[in-house]
Amino acid sequence: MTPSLHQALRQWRDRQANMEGVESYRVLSNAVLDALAITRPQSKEEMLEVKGIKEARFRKYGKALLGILSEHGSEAIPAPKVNERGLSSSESENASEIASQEPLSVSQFLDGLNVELSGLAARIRGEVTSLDIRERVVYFSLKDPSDESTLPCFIFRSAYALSGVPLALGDEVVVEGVPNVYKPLGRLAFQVGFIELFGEGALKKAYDLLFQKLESAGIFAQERKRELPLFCERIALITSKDGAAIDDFRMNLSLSGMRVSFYPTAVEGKRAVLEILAGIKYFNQTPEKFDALVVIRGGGSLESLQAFNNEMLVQAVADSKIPTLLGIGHEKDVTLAALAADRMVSTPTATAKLLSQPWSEARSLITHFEQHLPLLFQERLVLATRLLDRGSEGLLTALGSVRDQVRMCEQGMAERIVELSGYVRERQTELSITRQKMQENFRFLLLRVRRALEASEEALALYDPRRALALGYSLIKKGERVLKTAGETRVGDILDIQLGRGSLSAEVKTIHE
Amino acid sequence: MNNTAMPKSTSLGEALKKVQEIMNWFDNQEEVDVEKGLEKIKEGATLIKESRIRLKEIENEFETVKKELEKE
Repeated sequence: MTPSLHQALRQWRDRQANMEGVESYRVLSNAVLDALAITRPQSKEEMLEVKGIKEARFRKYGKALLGILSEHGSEAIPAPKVNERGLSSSESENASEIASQEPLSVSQFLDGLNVELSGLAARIRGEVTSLDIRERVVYFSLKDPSDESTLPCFIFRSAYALSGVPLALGDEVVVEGVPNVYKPLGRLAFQVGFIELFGEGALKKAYDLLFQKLESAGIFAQERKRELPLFCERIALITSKDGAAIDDFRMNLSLSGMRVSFYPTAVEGKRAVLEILAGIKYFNQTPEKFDALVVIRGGGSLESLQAFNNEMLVQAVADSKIPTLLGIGHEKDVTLAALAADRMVSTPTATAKLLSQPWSEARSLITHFEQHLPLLFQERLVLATRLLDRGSEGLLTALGSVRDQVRMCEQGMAERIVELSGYVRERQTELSITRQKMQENFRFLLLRVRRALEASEEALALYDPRRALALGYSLIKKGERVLKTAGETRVGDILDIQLGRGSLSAEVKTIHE
Repeated sequence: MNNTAMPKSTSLGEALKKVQEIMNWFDNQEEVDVEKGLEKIKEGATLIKESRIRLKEIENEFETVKKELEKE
């Protein structure tokens, strides 16, 4: 495929989509573009063989596409007559040819007409004079206040919702779109892709109304706001690739190894809402991959910021699973999308600074820590040393007092010992005196006993019967018994008689009682 | 990007918080516990070192998302 052909097809497709106010793929997908660039169909039949192009689509775009393809066709391929089924665009050239041509069917003619009309995209201002809101389409008329000219218009409900401008009779609006003939009726109507309010007054009114509506729905409530992570590293960025906003943002973002995924979109005009919505949706497919969803745009008038006052966009910002940070410049009223965000600032520069600030603060905090932590420890050490000094002093004092006490104890004990030895000596003297006395007493006692014994001895000697025997008395015994009376014997008894010296036995001869 | 020391952005915040706590500990310590203090200062030094690595000035990465709007 020739790059220039592919490029030409793409440019045409995007332009067409823009005119119709739809996404590019609704005109032709990339795959179809590729197929066209490769197969280079030169006729309706050939083109209908390309997957993705059917009768309806060919009716709408076939002529334009064949035109591009023939312009870029190699010279070997003869350029086909692309106008044979369409309308001639250059009458003077083809005037003579028309007469000789086969007549067109009404349908063919209207298809051709619509192809031509699709090139007449316009932006039109007018007052809404009739309004019929159907299930899939909204029909309305625009009137020119100066001369009562009227243009019938219609817009598909999806595009109507996207525009975010609820139509009301008497509103002055600006519409963008292409004229189109509705074939069954042969009536021309303007197919609107996007509606905007006209004039600052109307915009302000719409802004106020939507503000009230969203506020009462709690979209702006403080409780809804989430904290952005302290250190945002993975940033999902939505803004225009051109313009000062992106440069301001990049320039003011501190070098902290942040990873910025940048989704370029229009930030003004009808494409902006669609593209920003797509960006929010894209990033929210993997919310865990991002710390913050950042949408930025430089300042502008209420009109130029309309995209950010679009209800669907505001809702998408509020519904984002990734915490949102909006930096939309503004002159007077903060955009509703910014109000719905978790955090908002007023410029792209401020947005970058807000993201960078914690990093810079952390850097100075770390420097502070680095310097002060050792100092704090040193302070502790000095304090500890001082405390130790004080402690050892105390300890020494305590030791001294212990020593004093010990000394006092020793002294006391020595005194006690002296006292005690005196006492012992006294007791000893007492004891020896007592002993002496006892000995004397004992001796005296002994003497007395001896004397008593001697006396007893003498007394005993007096009573000794042997003394009587010696004096001539005898002791008569019968057996062992000493006789005291004569009656104790009988005649014939043998009696023992003890004398002073010796003894004898005698027989009783007579008894005298 | 070199952020192996602290893979998550929260851990940087936590590290800073911890160092701050250590500073506060020193500030509020009535009794001097040098051993504990030494422990704390070691911990603080490690945290500071790790944070420093993460806070090094590193080029930001810009990657433009390839639009995948093309759908049939």
